[in-house]
Amino acid sequence: MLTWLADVFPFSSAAVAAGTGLLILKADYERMKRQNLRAEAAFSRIVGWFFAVGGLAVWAVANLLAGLGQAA
Amino acid sequence: MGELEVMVLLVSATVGTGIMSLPVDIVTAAGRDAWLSTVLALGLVLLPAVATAHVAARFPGHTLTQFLEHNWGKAAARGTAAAFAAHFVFLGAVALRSAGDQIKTILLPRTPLEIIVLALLLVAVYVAREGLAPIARMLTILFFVLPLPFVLLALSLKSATFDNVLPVLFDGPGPVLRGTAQTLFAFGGIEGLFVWVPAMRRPERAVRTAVYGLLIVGVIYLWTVWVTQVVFTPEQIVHMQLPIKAAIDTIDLPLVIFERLDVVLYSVWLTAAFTTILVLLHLASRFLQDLFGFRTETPLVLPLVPVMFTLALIPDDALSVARWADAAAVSEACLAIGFPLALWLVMRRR
Repeated sequence: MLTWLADVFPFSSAAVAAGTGLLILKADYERMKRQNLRAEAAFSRIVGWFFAVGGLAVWAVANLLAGLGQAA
Repeated sequence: MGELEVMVLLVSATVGTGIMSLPVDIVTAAGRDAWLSTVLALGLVLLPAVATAHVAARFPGHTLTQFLEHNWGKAAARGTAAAFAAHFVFLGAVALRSAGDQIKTILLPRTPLEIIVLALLLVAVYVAREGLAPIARMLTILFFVLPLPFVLLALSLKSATFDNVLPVLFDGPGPVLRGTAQTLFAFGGIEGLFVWVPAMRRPERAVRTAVYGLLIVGVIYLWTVWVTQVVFTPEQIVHMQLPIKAAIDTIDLPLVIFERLDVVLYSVWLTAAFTTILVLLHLASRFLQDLFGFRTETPLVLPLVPVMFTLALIPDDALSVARWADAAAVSEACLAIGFPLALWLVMRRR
């Protein structure tokens, strides 16, 4: 059970999430800000940071749990 | 948008990677009456398509969510938008995985699946972020390339045995009905009309456009299944992975225009796979836009990349992918067939 998250969220997914997060911050956030779409810009900033940091964090936690699961 | 563009969007969303293995699925279920199942499925799917177009034409310039919110309240509207968004994300992930698997098997056996899936997704994202009009224009250009392998298939009729499709209904109607159920899900994508029809310049022509679009899809499917059936016996087809490729391999051209005809097939098939993924990705972002109440779908396209990428890579093997495809068919039955018919009936009663 503890290895489930590590199985469905491998490093490739974490890397894609982090890359996409940076792309959202660079492309979408700037574009929405330029077009003066405030709600959309705020959304892009939150989602961008969430993916950029969260992707790798979830992967790390998933592998930590998987390691604990195997040790147990 | 014009009628041609909506028709092209409908054909692009419907004809995807599944067409390569479609004859195998139908012949396995219906045997030598597979072509009859295709005709029946086309007839049956016209009803929800007409219902969808009819309902969508009732709210020109507005989205399905706005229409539902006006008539049934915010909760029903947001719930429907969330259901459609999840449906398209899931369908997109299944289409992505299925295209990735086939590309890896046929063309790029040493390339990691992750790279193939990501490349397909990023190209689709690049276009989807620009909105519906550029997508429709691009697909209209590609639309005229798509029929090429189906025209080439005619050349394989040289080795055809027309007795392969006879006698009709020898095993009774049971297998034909099983094949029809199997084929119905190959018409998935008609629910996109909820987004495209309100954007039409003349929504009163939506029903006609939907019918023409589906007829094009039906002719492509029927032609593919029928040619495969007359070139190979049902026993041969059920053991094949890609019968269309096998049929094209039987062609012996006197004048060599293409050194390898199967490469033409693959290039066009890749285009079909890409257009399906692109349209599904955009539809998901449009329903998310309704859900969040944004003025544009652009900021909702990129966040779908990690979601669809992760979902596409979850199935471990071909069996798991097939199970996901079955789940997608159930979702398709609810939202592409059940929902528009129910909405149509309710609207007629009001």
